[in-house]
Amino acid sequence: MFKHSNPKQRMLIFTLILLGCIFILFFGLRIFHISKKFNGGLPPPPRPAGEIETDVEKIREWMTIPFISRTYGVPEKILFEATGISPERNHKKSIEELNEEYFPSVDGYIIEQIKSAVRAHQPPPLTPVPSDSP
Amino acid sequence: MSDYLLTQVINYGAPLLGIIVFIGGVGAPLPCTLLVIAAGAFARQGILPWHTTALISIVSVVVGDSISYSFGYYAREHVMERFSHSPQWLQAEESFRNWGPLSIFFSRFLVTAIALPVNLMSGTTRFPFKKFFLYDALGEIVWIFGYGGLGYLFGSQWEVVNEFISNFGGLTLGVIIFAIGIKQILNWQQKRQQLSN
Repeated sequence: MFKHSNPKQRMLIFTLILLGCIFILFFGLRIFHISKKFNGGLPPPPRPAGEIETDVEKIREWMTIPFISRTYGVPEKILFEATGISPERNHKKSIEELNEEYFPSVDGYIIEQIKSAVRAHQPPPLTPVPSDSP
Repeated sequence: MSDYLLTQVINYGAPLLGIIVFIGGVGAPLPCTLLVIAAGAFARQGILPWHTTALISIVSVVVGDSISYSFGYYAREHVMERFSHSPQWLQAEESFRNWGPLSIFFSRFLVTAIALPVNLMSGTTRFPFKKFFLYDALGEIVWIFGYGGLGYLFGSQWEVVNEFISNFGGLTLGVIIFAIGIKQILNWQQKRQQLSN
């Protein structure tokens, strides 16, 4: 099959095929693993506009306090109070930056404080209104 | 880097996203796809206005891509000095003429890792700019509305979506590399048959 090719070309083609197989196997397995995280591969049902997030485990260190306040429906004032940090000049800082600035010796202190404050002060989720019909 | 940029996007909104995707279009390795998916999720929360964000992002990234095309365009003389007599270069030019539009379109959103080489190659081979612009803009529209739309649709699950998409890009690249290898083997086989006939 490779009679009309030089060894360099042959090597290149085998490398391409091998590399292709490695990529396919590696990324294919990763996709298979990730797809398990989806709820049957479907997006979550659309939420009504303005509905708040409830899962505090989705709070990340890149988030700012105003962003968390808006996402989880907890007033900024409560979140700043929970962390013991003044809101002044701290609005645009991420949780990670705030932690490094105010509590450099305690890793993840602010995120834990914020999670607790959100759990304690989040408004209850909307419940369906029972109908009058029997 | 991604975390820092996400913080800045929620602070400064669409104009900053536009600057980031512009720099990404020029060729800097920034996590632009992640930011586009996240921007979709932020739009769902009402933090970013989706129409302005989409418009600014599309215009910015297309301008960035056009600049990287121009890098290739003006580097042609240097490239030709070195490779003008190389049959491989001539073959690459010929094959880019045939496959250019598809490469430009799909590298905008499917295999983004090769977007910069494709832009440079388009300029260097003097692929017509109008055609480049057209396929580039179409690909970027799919990128922004497709990936931003997925972020919007999946909302708070956007991180999983990003993980899925970045791995899907790797898988596609693997399939392309594998297909090139197989095609080359088939070409050899064809040549062998022709010679034996």
